[in-house]
Amino acid sequence: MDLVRDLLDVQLMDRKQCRIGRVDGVLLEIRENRPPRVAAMEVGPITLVRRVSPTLARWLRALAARWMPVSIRSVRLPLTLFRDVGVDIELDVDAHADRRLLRVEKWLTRRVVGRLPAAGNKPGEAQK
Amino acid sequence: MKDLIKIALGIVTSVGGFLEVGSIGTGLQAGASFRYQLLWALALGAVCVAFLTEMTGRLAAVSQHTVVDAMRKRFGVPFQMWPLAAQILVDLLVLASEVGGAALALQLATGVSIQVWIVPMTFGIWLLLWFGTFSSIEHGVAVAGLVTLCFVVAAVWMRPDWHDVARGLVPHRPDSDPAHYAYLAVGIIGASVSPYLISFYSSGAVEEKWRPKDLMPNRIVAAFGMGFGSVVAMAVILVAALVLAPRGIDAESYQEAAGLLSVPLGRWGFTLFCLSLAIGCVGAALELALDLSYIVAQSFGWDWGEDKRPIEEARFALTYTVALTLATIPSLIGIDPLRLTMFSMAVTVLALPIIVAPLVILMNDAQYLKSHTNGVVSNTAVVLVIAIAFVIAILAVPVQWLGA
Repeated sequence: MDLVRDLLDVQLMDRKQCRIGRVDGVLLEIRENRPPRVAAMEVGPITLVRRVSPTLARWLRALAARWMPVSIRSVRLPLTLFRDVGVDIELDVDAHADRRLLRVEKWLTRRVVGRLPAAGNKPGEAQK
Repeated sequence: MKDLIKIALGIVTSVGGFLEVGSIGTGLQAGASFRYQLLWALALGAVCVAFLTEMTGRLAAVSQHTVVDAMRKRFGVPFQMWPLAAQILVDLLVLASEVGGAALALQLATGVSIQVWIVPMTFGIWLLLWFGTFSSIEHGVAVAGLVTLCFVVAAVWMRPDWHDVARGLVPHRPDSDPAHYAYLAVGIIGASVSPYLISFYSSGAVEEKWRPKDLMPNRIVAAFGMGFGSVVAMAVILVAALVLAPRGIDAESYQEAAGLLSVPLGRWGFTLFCLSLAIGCVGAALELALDLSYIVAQSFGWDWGEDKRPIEEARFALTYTVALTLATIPSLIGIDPLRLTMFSMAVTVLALPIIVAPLVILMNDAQYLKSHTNGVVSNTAVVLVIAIAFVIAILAVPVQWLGA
């Protein structure tokens, strides 16, 4: 597997085909006298921004720690979770049951969108 | 019959490209100032958009992935952040123009100011997105968009000299004021070859679950949809040339041009003009608000889809909510929608090259397109579109300065 071509920035899905983010970073373990090994994939905005500018990532981390009501800490996912690898990667996780995943999405659903009228239904759904 | 229904995606996409506030505004000015001489710019824009939408529809049908999806994976975030930022800026500016245009249509119809209409109009658009599904929005806009055919009826009714019309499809040196001519030509191309058409069309094809068997319908939809939009937009130029030019009205504002259809269509003309403007702008605003949610969600790998309930994809729903809220600001502080539109089109033209250039690599990536990668014709077309995009981007600033 070519890490940059086949892993970095790839769409991640859970076992129910829910999109859970992209591979924003790849964590390598450097070993003495042996080739480096992929320790985990990282998913999260701070990892993503670090690839553009480490300074910006530090600012984002500080701002988030002070002002964000929900943690945006990156999540590390081991490669042992792979179920299927194609254009997207399917992982053996359930994003809605796993508390580490989709933290911002779940917080917004609970605190903002869920409180707006009719957020839980679409009139056109019955025809689907 | 099912394939026929797919035409709706082509029509709704073309409404955003050819029948919104910017296209109608530049069309009116082009017809009023240069009669048929700028029809070629519209035809060129339509051919470019038809090729681009066919390609992105093909990518979606073969891979079930959108252009933005593929761009993030293929180029990585350090590159993709630039086209993404450019497209967010363009989408927001054009969205603000469209909600302003829809409110302007209501101002023309009722005499009550844009600033009064802008918030209820934007709230109405948000309700359609919040409660609607992709197909209800798509089919609603496609059917309502047929009202704009009144321009075609009016143009044919007024019996233009078809020989002159055909001459207008070939670029000629203008009779007068070359700076204004170039300014309008860039404006027309900028208003029709809009980057959001590309990402919206490919997202729509994924929403509609197109598969490789839909490749032929995709070609027809791209050609027919863009053909529909460009024919109506050409009719706007023709009617403006036949009604406004002889009366010396230069259509610098919509107020001046609103009586345009009353000459060929009588008392229904004014109502149909306001209705066409409102439908075009609301259709484009729906398309743009959805497109903003699509491109942000796809770039960051969030769940997306207009058919899902807001609680199933809170970030997707909140993105269009925030975008629509921001889009009301320019009209609320009194910026004229037509001036904002002209500025948005100049920004669109500047952003276009960095948004379309990656397509030449994406459309030749066999991991996504398998055996359906671009052939010689499509590759030539996409290179030509990129070249045109670069040329008009270079021309945009001097032309805006000299010709406005």
